Amino acid sequence: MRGIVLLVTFGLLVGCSARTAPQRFADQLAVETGDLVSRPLESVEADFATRILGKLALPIEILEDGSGTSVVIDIGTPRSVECFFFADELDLAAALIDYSKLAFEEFSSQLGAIEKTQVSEVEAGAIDGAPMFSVEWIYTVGGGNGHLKHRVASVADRSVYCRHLETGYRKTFARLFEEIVRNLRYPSTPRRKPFYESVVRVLFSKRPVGVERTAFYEHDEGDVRLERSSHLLLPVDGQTLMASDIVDVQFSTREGMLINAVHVQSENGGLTANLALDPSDNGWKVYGMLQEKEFASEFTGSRIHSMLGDGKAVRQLVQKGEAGASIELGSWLPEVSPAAVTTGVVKMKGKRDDGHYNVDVSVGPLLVRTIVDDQGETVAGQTKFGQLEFEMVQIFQRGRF
Amino acid sequence: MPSWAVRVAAALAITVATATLAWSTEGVGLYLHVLPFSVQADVSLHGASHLRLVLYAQDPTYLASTILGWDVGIVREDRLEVEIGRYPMRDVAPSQIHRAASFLVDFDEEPVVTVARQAAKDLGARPSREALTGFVADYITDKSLGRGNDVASQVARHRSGDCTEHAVLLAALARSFGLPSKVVHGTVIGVPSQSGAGAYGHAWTEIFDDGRWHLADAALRGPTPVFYIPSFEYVDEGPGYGIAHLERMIRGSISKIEVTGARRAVP
Repeated sequence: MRGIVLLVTFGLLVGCSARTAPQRFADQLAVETGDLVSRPLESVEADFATRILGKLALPIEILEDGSGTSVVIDIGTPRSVECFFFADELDLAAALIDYSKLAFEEFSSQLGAIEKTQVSEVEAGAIDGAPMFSVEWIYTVGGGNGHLKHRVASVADRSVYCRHLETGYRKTFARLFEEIVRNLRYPSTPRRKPFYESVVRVLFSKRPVGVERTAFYEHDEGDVRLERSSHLLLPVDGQTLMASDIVDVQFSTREGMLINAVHVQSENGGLTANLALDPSDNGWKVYGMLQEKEFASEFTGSRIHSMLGDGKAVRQLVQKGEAGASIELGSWLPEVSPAAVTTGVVKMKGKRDDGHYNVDVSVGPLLVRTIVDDQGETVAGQTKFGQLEFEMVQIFQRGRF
Repeated sequence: MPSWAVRVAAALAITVATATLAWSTEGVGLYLHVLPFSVQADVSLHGASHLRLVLYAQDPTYLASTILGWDVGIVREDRLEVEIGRYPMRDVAPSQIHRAASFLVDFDEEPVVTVARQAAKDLGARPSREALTGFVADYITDKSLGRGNDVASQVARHRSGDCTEHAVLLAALARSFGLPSKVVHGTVIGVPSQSGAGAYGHAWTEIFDDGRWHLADAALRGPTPVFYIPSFEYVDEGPGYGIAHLERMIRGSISKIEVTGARRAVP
């Protein structure tokens, strides 16, 4: 049994050639392994099966706290890749910050104080519909540089996290992680199958900073369960990332009107909102926790669109095909106002040469320029905050709503 | 609704400074949201009491309306010319919102009550605004950007944060001692002695005392000369306070600053 600790000792990989230290480090960053053999990996006890590139370096072990399973994979590098298959879903953004801190604490205890850490790469995306985040760090200790790579993804309500504490092997590590996630199955756990799912990537200044997965499931008596998980890793400075993880669950009529909803949000892993919305005699009641305080309020308003309702309304708008036509949508957006219906205006601007539609969405002070397909799905979007530009691109889609 | 856009808006609203992003401790405190900044070659900022500026802004007319008490010169399509002192004196009487507990400035919550009790013990029953400012600067021991835009009770509990957390806790403590207060966002121009001047997004507190408003900045202390350009103050301190101010944040945002002149106050 072992906890989530480093299994290897550390040293900085600075060789002894005539090249300068920065040149040698750059060379090491570019190093990759040759082709690796794909092998099956299975744990009956932990109920998962997948494939790995390379071979098991140590026997599979259940983590001491029962939260998951530890797997060490030899990919032919001095230090192996460590992976953890968790029994639950992690806050993807916060997990990468937490595990980065953990790794640096362990470095410090073995190598001495870390002099500097620098985010070298953030990636957000999807592997076969599973939202994925990656962070790489360059760190300095004892006057030399080291390289640290993390990847995390969620597959069907569980998360898998891998790290490689070795300079270079970036593509090799990415390929291994993709192999694991793409093949991950839970043989004894029935998997809920959505009738619609999509993943979008959020970019800031053309760099990936976030990923959002939306999934719609059939529910009892013809109702629909809607889930959306949003994860953002925003660069605060070169050494600091801010993590935001949000989960929304809505129950909706098949027509797209909200029945009730839950909104849970954490910042840097700390819970900042846990709110429920239910119908009340006069409209709606919202209750729970907000900013670490109890929160309860009521507001009027008979009909609120669900995520499904938003999509259906936009589809109707674009299929009508009238440039300049607009609709108003009332939604529950707790970030804007937890105790009110937020009204957005959706305006059809016109059809594009590629067959999609330009659609502008105004929500309070926000103006979001979107590209929508003929089914009402947003395939791209862009919004500006002063000089700051954010974009969204749909990177995965399966099914229809 | 484009939830991704709402989410990044919320994240921006709570950090004020998420992006171009750098911060520096430069020996004086927290700086956020570094702006393009230039000084004309023949202008020296050292010892200056007033600066002549060209402010490039999303909405210069709106920005001009927020800079009350200063000589606003020309407003053009993309910029505003203005002469500023260290801080604009605004002759607006405090209202109930500046005195009452709110969701954001929640001095009635137990964590803030406890901190106020400690402040009274350390500083006396009627602490000065300067003493309260120093108290908050010392109380927040973890000077970091790791928190969002916390409410005062969270700041009291975690003792961590950047300029917004300093500003909110100071506003709460001031109100708990009967001093009207508000949280203000804007831009500061710092003139560090060695590394040259810079402009940064920032948040601070105003406290009403002795019949007028005073600047109180618990996050940015030290001898470095600093000029403040307020863009907006929180007028909605309710639970949607972050995004509620996004419009002001955007309309009041400055994208670039040029210093075209500087003068010293006549003794």
